[in-house]
Amino acid sequence: MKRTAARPPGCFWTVFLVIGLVLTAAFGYWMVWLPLRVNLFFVETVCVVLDKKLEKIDGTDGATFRPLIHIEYTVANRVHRIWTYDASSISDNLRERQQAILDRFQNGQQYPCWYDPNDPDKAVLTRELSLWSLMILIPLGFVAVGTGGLMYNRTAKSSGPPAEIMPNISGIGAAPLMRMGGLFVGGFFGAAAVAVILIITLGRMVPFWMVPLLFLLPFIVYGSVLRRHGRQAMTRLKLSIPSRERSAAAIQDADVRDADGDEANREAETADSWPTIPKLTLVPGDQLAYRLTSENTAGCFLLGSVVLAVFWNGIVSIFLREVIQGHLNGKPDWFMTVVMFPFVMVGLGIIGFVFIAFVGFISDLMAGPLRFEISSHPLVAGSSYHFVVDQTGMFQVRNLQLKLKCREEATYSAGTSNRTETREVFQQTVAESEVGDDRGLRGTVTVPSEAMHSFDSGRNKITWKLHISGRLAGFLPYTNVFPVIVHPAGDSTV
Amino acid sequence: MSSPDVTLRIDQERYRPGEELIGAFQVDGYLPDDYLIELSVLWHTEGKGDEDLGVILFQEWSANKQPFDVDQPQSFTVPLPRSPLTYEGQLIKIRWLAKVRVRCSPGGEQLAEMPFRLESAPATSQDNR
Repeated sequence: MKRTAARPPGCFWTVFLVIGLVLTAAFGYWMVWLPLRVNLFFVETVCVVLDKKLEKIDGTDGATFRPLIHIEYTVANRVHRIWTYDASSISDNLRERQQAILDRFQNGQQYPCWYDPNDPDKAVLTRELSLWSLMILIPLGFVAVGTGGLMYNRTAKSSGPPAEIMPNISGIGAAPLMRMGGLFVGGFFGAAAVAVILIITLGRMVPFWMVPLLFLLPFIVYGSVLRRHGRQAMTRLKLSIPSRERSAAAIQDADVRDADGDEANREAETADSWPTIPKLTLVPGDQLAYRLTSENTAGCFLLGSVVLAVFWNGIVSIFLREVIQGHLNGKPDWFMTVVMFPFVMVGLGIIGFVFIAFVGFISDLMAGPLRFEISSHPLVAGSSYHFVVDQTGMFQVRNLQLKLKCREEATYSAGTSNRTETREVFQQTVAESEVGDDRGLRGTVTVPSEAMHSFDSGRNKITWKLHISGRLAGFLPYTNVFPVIVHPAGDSTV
Repeated sequence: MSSPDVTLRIDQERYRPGEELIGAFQVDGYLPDDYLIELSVLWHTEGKGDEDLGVILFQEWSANKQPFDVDQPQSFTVPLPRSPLTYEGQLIKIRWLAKVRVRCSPGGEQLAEMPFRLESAPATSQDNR
């Protein structure tokens, strides 16, 4: 079964929103609020330019520059001399532009300046909002995306399809989505841009109390437009988003018909005669019809556990060495000793896993390939099959036991990762070797008539396996697994 | 203005693999200019794992493509596949249902569902193969 991508979880949009809010606060303070504060609260006076310079600030990405002008002004009969230019004090790498600003001021000349009445030592030579103020649109975009994502998730959770099958919207069907996105995101950016431009152009011409209104006005217009057209657009958007059935039908071999009932995809119906039942290709056997393929993973298990043990214990050993050295030198670090204890325990546990994997691998090597043949395949619920298990290795596996097992496997999303839970729902001992019989196993295996067929739909699986266990050299445990496919009872095609 | 009513029925509650499902549905009431009606016959999983979904029949009507005849029953037939069978497991459950979804603006969405079981043919006496 084909599957489509899952919807990003709420935490993904929350991160967007939080980052956006933090950056908006920071950008807003430096690039909008500080210049705005000058416009709102600072008092105008006259200053004399004493000196000027282009300050160079070295950074990792190269040098940046900003103009600094030494001015003298008088407040309440007290003379103040400071280096200043604007409220934000933002530097950039456009040296010529900053030099041009500097060239506008001549030493010894008088210019208007604005000082903070609460702290007359602070003053600026310009009240203009620079283009850098538009930078606030970037974090505002994060806020818009985060908010929009959370709203979409909330809408989708309450009324839409589950996370597994999400609609693919493309072509003409995407038009309402584009309109909605344009209205929501574009309108927001537009309102923010207009607000900044209004403040830059009209901020100094209007009374102070009107400045917040200037800023909010575009957003008020945006809100009213969104309220008027947004609901209608949202309803049309919901209609345009394909339902989960439509999405599934589009990617599966569904019988999709037009409204007259004509079948548009009729041939697909016969493409898979046993939908959701996996297929297993087997080679012909020597004594019976098919030879089953082992699912033995002893080598992979050993390799994986060794890699994990080396990685984990390698890192732990670096710190453990220091701790042991401290103890040997008579200067024990008891805090580190206690902290290291659980890490060492886990490392020992992994070494235990390596030992178990090694035993399994050695057993597998000693036993050699196990030949498992069956009279027919796939198996059908309610039917019996002859089987033969022959040992071909140098060492005999004794106390052989054959079990038929059925297991359910359910995979689910947990945050951004997937987890699989398994449960054995059926187990039946098929055959056991008798004392002194070292040739292997022979007999019949019967699949219960009420057994569920094998099933694989992507996230959910029902598997059937034949498990062989025994003892090698009297003490080494031996296991081997042979997957089989089970069809429903009454299947006469097999 | 009230939302349209949807009624759905199928001819049996239990089917064998390969049998034909026969059903009909009807949408009563007012349908606005913007509407979409979807008929589907599907199976889906429930339980511990994320939901999987398989659609075997999908048919739709909309105002601008193929108008739906309100107040007239719309019949449908579809041969059922041989698998998956209805299943009640511990971690996994497999359910079959016929479903009609009516989406309209204004009016929102109405759903009508009719579950049924797809069960295997009874096993004959245990045969040796």
